[in-house]
Amino acid sequence: MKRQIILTGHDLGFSKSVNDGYDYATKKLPKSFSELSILPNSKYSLDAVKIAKDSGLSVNLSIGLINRHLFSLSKSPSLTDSSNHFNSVNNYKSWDFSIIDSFADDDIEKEIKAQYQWFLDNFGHKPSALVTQKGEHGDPKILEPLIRLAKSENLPMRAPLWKWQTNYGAQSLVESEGIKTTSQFLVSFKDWQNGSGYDLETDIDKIIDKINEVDGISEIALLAGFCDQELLDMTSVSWQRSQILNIIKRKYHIIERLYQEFDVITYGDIK
Amino acid sequence: MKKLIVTADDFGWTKSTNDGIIRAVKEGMVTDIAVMVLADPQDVDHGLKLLRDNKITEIGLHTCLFKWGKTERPHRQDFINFFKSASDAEIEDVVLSEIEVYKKLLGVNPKFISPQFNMHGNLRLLKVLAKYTVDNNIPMRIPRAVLTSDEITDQNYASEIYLKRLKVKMTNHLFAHILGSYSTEIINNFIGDLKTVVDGETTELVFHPGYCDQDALESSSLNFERARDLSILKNPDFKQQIVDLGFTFSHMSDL
Repeated sequence: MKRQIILTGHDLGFSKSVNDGYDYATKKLPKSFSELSILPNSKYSLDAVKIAKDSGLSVNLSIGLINRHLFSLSKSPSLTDSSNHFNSVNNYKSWDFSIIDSFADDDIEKEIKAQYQWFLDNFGHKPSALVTQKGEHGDPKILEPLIRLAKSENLPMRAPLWKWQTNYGAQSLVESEGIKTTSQFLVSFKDWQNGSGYDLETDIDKIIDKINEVDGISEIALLAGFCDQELLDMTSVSWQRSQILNIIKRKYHIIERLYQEFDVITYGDIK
Repeated sequence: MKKLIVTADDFGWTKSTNDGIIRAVKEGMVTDIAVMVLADPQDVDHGLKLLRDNKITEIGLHTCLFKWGKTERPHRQDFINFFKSASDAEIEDVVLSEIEVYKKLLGVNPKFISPQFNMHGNLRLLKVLAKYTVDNNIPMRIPRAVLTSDEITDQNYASEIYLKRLKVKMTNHLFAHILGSYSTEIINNFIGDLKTVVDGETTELVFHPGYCDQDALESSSLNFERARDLSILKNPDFKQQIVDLGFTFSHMSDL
């Protein structure tokens, strides 16, 4: 039997050019993603709702709690700076997320609920799954309230990895709570954490091997987007998003190969 | 002393390319700009206004020979066919016409010539361009390329020795890493290249900075790489490594 994979368009709503990229990809280059992952708390989130709805794709909720470009929907003081933007992690490269130490548990719970409510209000239905933008639910302080929400709403959850790698304590907790989940998460561009990602074009054989090595469902993050000045200034993951658009537009056989090798599903299809 | 020129190609091609290149000059390492005057007129005009507004003058001609619009442009094979079939007079006519367009739009002679696709690896075109550069005492990009691929090669002895005998001003080295998605590796490759340069030599690095919008994605196979190049050119660690190797930044017009 073929292994199952989810092809997620990650970070929808993050910036204008990211939205434009998803709008372009879902309208002009269909059958690229099986899921979209929307951020509820960016200034471009409402624009993203229309793109997501127009796409007809399954949409999951990407909860963001540690990105200074996102803002708190619950205006929780321990999570944010004076402008209501999240206190940024100390260093993404070293994966130093110790800023979470100072988050009040109540504030975390309140914020997660507020972001979930945003989704219900704007889509009129539940998301396909709960995920986090930077994998912050690999930290138990974030994971536990997210598990409570997932259980109460009967929703799947992305594997609570750390550095997008195995995070046994967190993963086993999700499984023991009976929450449907994935097994691994592959970032589909090379320029990630000093080259630890996978170039969808040149590393496609490695990606396929990696998926076949691991039991359960693999998720591939396809971070798509055009790259404008705003995005280039916001994040080190900027131009890489346009590489995904280039592959979808000009080298679609690579995406097709994933469809041939695997059973491409949505979070809602997880049994 | 080792001099380094960092050239941004394709200025004028799209507005997002123009914007990205200006940023790469102001906040990055770009020292010289190669302008495509046969791109779509509204994009060329947009670019020329940016050059004027930012008082940028180290500008040369990115020779395209034919109209180079977003939806219609020649490809490598078209140039190969043209050089096979055209007479020397026809080639000269096309070259000089483009230079006239440049002079009309910018009001000055180009400060250097750096042909698109490095197509001046073709000796018939090279002869025409060489005559112009000698007559006007301006430099030309070293023809370290073949017209059949994107990569810089050293497999064009005839063209190089032809220019050297005419004493056309060129750099000693030309380095480019046009394709690829791993910026750390690209930076390391450039640093490796630059380590081969010895005192007294001049080097040109070629980049294609820009933003990647729908125009860029749809009109060129070189699209995300433009934003990648802009990111690399703004990388302070990369610049510091270059300075640590003993390079000083210069211009083609200083050759």
